[in-house]
Amino acid sequence: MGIRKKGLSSIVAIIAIILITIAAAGFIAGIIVPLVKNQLNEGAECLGYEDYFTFYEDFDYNCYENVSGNWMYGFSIEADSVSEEKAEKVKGFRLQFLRSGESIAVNVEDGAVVTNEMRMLDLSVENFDIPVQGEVRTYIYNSTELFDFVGISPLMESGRVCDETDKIDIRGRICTISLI
Amino acid sequence: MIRVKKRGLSPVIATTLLVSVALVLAVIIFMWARVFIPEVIEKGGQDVAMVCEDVRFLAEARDGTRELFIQNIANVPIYAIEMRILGQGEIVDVGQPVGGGTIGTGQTMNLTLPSEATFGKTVVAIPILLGETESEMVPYVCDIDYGVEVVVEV
Repeated sequence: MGIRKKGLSSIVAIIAIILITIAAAGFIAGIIVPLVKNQLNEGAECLGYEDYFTFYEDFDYNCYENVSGNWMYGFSIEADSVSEEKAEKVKGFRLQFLRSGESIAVNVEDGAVVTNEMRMLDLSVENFDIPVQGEVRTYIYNSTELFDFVGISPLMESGRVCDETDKIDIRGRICTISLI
Repeated sequence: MIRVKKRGLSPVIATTLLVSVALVLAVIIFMWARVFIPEVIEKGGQDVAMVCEDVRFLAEARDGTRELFIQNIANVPIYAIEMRILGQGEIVDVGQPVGGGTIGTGQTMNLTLPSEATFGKTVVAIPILLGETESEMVPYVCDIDYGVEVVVEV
C-alpha cells in the first residue's frame, strides 16, 4: 500500500523559511530598531545633567518674605559649565514647591514672557533668561502658600523633565534683602 | 542494523558559532554602553578639574586702557581666561577677553576687556586650562571658585 506524501517539498520549505527570515529581518530593521533606538536615546537624554542646575548660595537669596499677605520667594540658580552642545539642549527648568500634602510645579523656559507669578529679579526684564555655562540668575515667585522645600529639574528641548538636580529647605529663611 | 543519519552541526562548528555570537554581542553592548560613560578630560595624567586647584594668578582691570592684566604665579599654564560680571543677584558670562594666548609659568599678559566690563563693575576672571581626552585637546573652564575677582578701575 502506497503512502501519499502531501507536505511541502524540502526545496519549497527552505525557500519559504528564507523568505520568512528576510521579511522578519526587514521588519526588525525597519520598525523595532528605530523604536528601541529612539527610546534608548530618550533614556540617555538626561545623562550628564545630574548637577546641571543648583541653588546658588553666595548671594543672599534663596529665601522668602511676606508681601501684603502673599509669599514672595527669591531663588538664585546656577548652571553647570558644560559643553555648548549640551547646554543648547536645555530650554529651561522646573521648580517644584513642596509642603505637607501639596506640591506645585512651575516651568520656566528661556525667552518666555514673565508673569505676575514668576519673574526675574530685575523688574525691567520682560522675558526669562536662563543661566548657562556657570552663570547665575535670580528669579522671584509669588504665591499665596508658604512652602517648605523647593527643588529644581532641567527642562529639555524635547519637553522631557529630568530628575531633580538640587533641593533646598526654605523653612525659616526670611530674606534679609528686599525682593521687590 | 539501523543507520542513523547525522544531520546536526559538528561540535567544533557549534562551539565556534557560540563564541562568535558571544563576541559580537559583547561588542554591541560595549558600543552601546560607551554612551553612558562620561569622557574624562585630563591634564598631565590628572583630572583637569583637580589641576584647577593649583592655578594661581593675579588680575587687574582698567577701564581707561580697556586692559585686563594677568600674571601667572603658579606652575600651571593658563590657556585662556573667561570673564563673568557680578551683578545684583546674577553672574553673567561675557566671554573671553580678546587677544593673547597661553600664559605660561611666571608670564604676564595684557588682554582686551569685553565691552560689558566697564568702570566700577566687579568681574571674575576664570582660568581656562587645555586638557586632553583620548582623541583631542579640549579647553576646560575651571569652576568660578578658582577665579580672581577684580573691580574695574579707572
